[in-house]
Amino acid sequence: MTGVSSSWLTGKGRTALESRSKPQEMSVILLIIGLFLVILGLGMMVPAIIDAVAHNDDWQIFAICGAFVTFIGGLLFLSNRGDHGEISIRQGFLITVLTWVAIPLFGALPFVYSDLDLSYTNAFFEAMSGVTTTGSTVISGLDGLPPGILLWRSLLQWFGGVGIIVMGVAIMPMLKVGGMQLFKVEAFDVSENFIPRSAKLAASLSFLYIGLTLVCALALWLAGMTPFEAACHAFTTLSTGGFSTSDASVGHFDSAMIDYVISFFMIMGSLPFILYLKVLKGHPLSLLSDTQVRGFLWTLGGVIAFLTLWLWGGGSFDLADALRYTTFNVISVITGTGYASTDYTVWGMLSVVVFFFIMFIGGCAGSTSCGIKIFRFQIMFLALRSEIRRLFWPHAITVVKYNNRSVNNNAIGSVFAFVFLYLICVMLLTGALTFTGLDFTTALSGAGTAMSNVGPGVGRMIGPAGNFADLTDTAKWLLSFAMLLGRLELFAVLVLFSPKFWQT
Amino acid sequence: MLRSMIEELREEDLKFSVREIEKGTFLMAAAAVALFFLAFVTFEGEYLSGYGIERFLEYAGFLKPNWMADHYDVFLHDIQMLFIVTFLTEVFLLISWYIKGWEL
Repeated sequence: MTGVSSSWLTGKGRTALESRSKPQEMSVILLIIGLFLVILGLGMMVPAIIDAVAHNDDWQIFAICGAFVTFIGGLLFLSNRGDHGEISIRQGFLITVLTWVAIPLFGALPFVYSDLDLSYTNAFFEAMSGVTTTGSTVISGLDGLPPGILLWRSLLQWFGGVGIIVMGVAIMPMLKVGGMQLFKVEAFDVSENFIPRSAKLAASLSFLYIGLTLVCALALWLAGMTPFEAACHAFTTLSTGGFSTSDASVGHFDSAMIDYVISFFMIMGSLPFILYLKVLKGHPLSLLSDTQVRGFLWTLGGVIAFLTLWLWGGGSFDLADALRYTTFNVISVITGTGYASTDYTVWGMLSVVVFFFIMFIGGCAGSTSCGIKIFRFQIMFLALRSEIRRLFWPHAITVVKYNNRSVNNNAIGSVFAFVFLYLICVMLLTGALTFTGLDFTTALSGAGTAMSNVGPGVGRMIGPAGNFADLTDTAKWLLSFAMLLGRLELFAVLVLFSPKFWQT
Repeated sequence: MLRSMIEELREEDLKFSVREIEKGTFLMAAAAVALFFLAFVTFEGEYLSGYGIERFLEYAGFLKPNWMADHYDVFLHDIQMLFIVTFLTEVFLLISWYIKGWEL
């Protein structure tokens, strides 16, 4: 690190920004949003090209929307250029949230103006579901849709995936959201001598993400998908998004090979990407020796083994099929991807209950997956064990250790606060959804799936065989907000509603 | 809860660097373009060289004439598998070179 300002997060010296006026504060926020909109607008040119090649008239919609979004983004970027230097914490939170709102706001435009002719509410829901890598959809008849639209849905999830990896590694640990400070990378510790610049770290994470996406696409092509289907599914697998090119999701292909390839890459997308870099740095056991990764893999293994044996014992499936279907669907739901290879809600009540609860688990911190995340369960377990030990040995000094590092009480408190708030939000959202006319099961699973960014819920309407089109507009806006809330780890959004946040 | 979090962050006085965010975004976009280009070149290169080898084997008599017409799927699968191995190696070397000297 050559200097403090070379990191995204720099420290010390607050005077310059404290005296900034509100328009100056907004200027830098608009600059960054403009930059991301330019990227989004250019991204729209990809489906435009694909539709043009396929002789589909929607290419004009993508080209016009792309030009419009690039123009607006460019306008914001160029008109706010200047010597901004550094951004305060308040601006950091605002940029984080507003960027994740601006992208679906503009990313929804092709859904409105294409042949799909969606209402803006539906289009925004679809775009938010894409960017947050949720995977809930309001569109039916996917099999007959033009390639541009299918690719755009996949690309939105792919952009969201890389965004969340970088945020999870570079920003969230610094904001100390829900115990994420445990994953602070030394790259952002300005006191170290041999640390990479944060922009370069983001680039190297993207290299990995893009490289894995391309390999996943090739593997899916090799497994029997067409190159286009393989590309779309690779985009939504690594991002643990779950948008498919068919209404039947991955079940459409009915291929064990495809199921296992996607399962493997869903797991890859759910592991901390920073550990991949450590493996490449010559520490091959970094992944397997990580407490979070081991906990995640054990959880996956345990749930898969339990459901496989239960399904096999039921007599409807042979062992190979039971293993295949449970492996795919359990990984899909725990990682928050949301693909379905079959309607698992018809397996029986036990499977419905299991799938409902595992949707909250999520993958690892610093990955593309969402949910409560495995490390929070581990920290809570360790803290509870420590408390119980204190009951037996009141004078003992107990230290909670995670990944061979002691965890301070602040971090433990953050984790408990996060989980408590998470459950409160699910309850409030369930109540609000019930007011829109949904039955309790649909409302509860809808709230859970949106907050955990999974995709399908439970029940006839929004289960793996259904979609979200029949929900009221109010319900869709509520769920869109919940997706954002879950994706940004609650606090990053809720902090904006605190009066303290707005005080200088 | 939120208040204490805000106060704690204010006390630490962390700042984000605008320049680094801009640079990071451009580098990520450049990485995407570069890697897609690399993948395209690698795949096309393997496809063309594989086709050349197949023609040579036909010419040398190891394969029947017009072998490709009946075995295109086998040929394509070989190229795809070869691509996965070579491309992964390329990405591995590229990232290893890029993060050389880093402390993670």
